[in-house]
Amino acid sequence: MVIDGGGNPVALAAEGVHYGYPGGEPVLRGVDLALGAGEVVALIGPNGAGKSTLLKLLGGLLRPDAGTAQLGGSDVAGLPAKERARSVALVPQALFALPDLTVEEFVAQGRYAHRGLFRGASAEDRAAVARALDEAEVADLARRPLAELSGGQRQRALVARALSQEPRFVLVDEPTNSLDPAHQLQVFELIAGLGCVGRAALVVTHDLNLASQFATRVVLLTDGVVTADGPVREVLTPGVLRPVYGDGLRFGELFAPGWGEARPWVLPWRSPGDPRA
Amino acid sequence: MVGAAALAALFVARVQLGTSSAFDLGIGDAFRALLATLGLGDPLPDLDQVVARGRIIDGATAALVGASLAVSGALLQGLFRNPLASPGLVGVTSGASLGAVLGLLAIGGVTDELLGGRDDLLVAAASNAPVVVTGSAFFGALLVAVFVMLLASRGGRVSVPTLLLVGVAVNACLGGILAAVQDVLVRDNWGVAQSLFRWLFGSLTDRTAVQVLIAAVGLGLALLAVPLVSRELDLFAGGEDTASSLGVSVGRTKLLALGAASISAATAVSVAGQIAFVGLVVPHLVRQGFGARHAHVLPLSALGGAVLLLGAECANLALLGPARLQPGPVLSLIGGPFFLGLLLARRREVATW
Repeated sequence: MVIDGGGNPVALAAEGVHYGYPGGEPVLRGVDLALGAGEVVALIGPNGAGKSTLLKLLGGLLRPDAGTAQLGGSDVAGLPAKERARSVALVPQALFALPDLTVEEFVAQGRYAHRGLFRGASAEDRAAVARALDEAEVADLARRPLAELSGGQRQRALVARALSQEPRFVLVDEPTNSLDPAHQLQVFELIAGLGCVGRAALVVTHDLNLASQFATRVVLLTDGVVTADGPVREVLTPGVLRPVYGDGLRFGELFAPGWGEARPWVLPWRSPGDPRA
Repeated sequence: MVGAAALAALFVARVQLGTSSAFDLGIGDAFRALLATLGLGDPLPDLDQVVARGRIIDGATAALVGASLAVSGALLQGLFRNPLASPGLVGVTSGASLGAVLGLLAIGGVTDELLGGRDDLLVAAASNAPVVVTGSAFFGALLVAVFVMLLASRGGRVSVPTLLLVGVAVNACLGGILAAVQDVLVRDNWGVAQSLFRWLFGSLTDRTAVQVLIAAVGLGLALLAVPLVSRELDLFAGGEDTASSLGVSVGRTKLLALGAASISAATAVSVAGQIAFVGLVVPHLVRQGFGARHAHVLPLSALGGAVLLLGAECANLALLGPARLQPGPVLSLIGGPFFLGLLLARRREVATW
C-alpha cells in the first residue's frame, strides 16, 4: 500500500478493466493490476497488447468501458484534473514543449497542479523543482534550453518534470526507446529509484533485460489480458514468454554480488535449426 | 512600453491624416482633438473637431480590430499547436462573415428600409441591429472553430497539412455559400450586394461609436480569458494527454480558448469586415521577439495587432491619400508574401505528410 499525507493507505488499481477505442476492436479485456508501495512494476507484452492504453486508463486520461480504474477508491478519470495530477504523473515517450524553455522551466511545468490561478511560484514550488532536478540528475542542465539536450537528457528531464508533481504514482511509457545502451542504463537506474518509500512506478517497456534488473515485479499483458504477474524470476521464463514471443528466445541467468539472487536474461537469438537461418 | 508609445504616436498620426485635404490638421491640432475627446482641454473649432472625432473613432476601430484579430490568431495557434493557424486560414473569419450575413438576412435586415438610404450595410447594421450582426457572427465563428478542431485533430495532435487542408476546404465551402448569397442579392438588390462585396474587402473608415464599443467589448472578453488559458496553452505544446496528466482541464481550456478566439474574431469581422493575415503575422513576430509563453504572447499580440493595423492605415492614408486602398487588400499584400515565406521556411515539416 502507498501511504498518503494523512498516513492512510492509497492504491492505484485497475479492476476488470475493459476498453476499446471508438469504432475499434476491444484493446483491454478484463485487466486487473494494482500498484503497491515501493514497487517498480515492469509492464511488458507484444506490440498492440494494450500496454500504453492501460497506462492511460490508470493515469485517468481514458475512462474504462467496463470495470474500474481507481485511486484510493475514487475513479481516476473522474477526479478534478489538478487533484489527479498531484497523485499520478505520466511520463510520455517523447518530449514536446514550447521551443524556448530551459530545463528548469520545463520541470517547473510539473508544479501546475500545485499552483493557484494568479499565484506565482512559491518557495515550496521552487524547492520541489530543485529536488526533482537533483533526483533526475539534470540539476547541472537547469539553465540549458531543451533544444540542446541529448536523447538521454531529454528522458531524464521528462522524469524530472513528473517528479516535480510530487506524485505517489509515476507511470512511464517506454522510456528507453531510441537510447544508446549507456543512456538506457542511466534512465533505468533513475526509474528504479522511483520505487522509494511512499511512491510506486509502472513502466511500460520492451526491454526484458532492463526489466529483469530494475523491476520488483513484472506484468505480462497479452492481447488485452494479463497472462502473468509476479516476481522477475517467475515471469521471465521460457514457459511464460515463449508462448507469447515465439521460440526465438534464449534464456539464462546472471549473478552479481549485492543482488541477493540470480537474475534472468532473455535474448532474441536465431537458432541454427531455424528454417529461416 | 515601446509598443504603447508607438501606438499612441500612430493614433495622433491617424487623427492628422484624412481622406480629404480640405481638413488637414496639424500634429498639434490632432493632439488637442484627442485630448478634447478624452475630456481634457478645449475642442478644436467647429467642423475640425467633428472631422477629428470621426478620425479618432476610425483610429480606435483600427487599433481594436487589429488587436482582436491578433489575439484570436495567438489563441488559435496555441490551441492547434501550430504557428500557421490564424482566424482567416482556419475559416473562423469566413464563419463570422457568413454568420453575420445570414443573421442580417434572417431578421429581414437587408432591406432598403433598414439601410435607411445609406448604402453601407455595416454602418446600418451596426446602428440598427448590432446585437444580431455581432451575435450571429460569433455563432458562425464558434461553429467553424469547433468544427475544424474536431475535424483536424487526430490523437489529440493537429498536423500542419491537415489543419491547412481542412482550413482550405472550410473556407471553400463557406466562400461558396457566401458567393451564392451575393449572387441572389445581385439579382435582387444591387445596392445591398455592392455593400456586402465592399464589406468583404474590409473597411476601417466612417465607423461609428457603437462599432468601437462592440470591438472593445469583444477584445475585452477575449483578454479576460488570457489569465485562464495562458499556462494551460503552454502545457498544450506537449500534447493534450500530457497537458491533462499535468493537471490541465483540457475540455475547459479548449472551450475558453475557442470561445475567446471566436468572439474576438467575430467582433472584428462584424465591425470591419474580413481583414486577413493580422492574426497570422502578429503572434508569429511576437513569438520571435519575446518567446513563446502565452502569458506574453497573448497580451503582446493585442498590442502588436493594434500597431500593425493602425500603422497600415496610416501608411495607406499617408501614401495614397484619397486614393487609399481598403485595409483588406493592404493587409493581404503584406501578409500574403509573409505567409508564403513562412511556408517555405517550414517546408520540411509540411512535406513530411
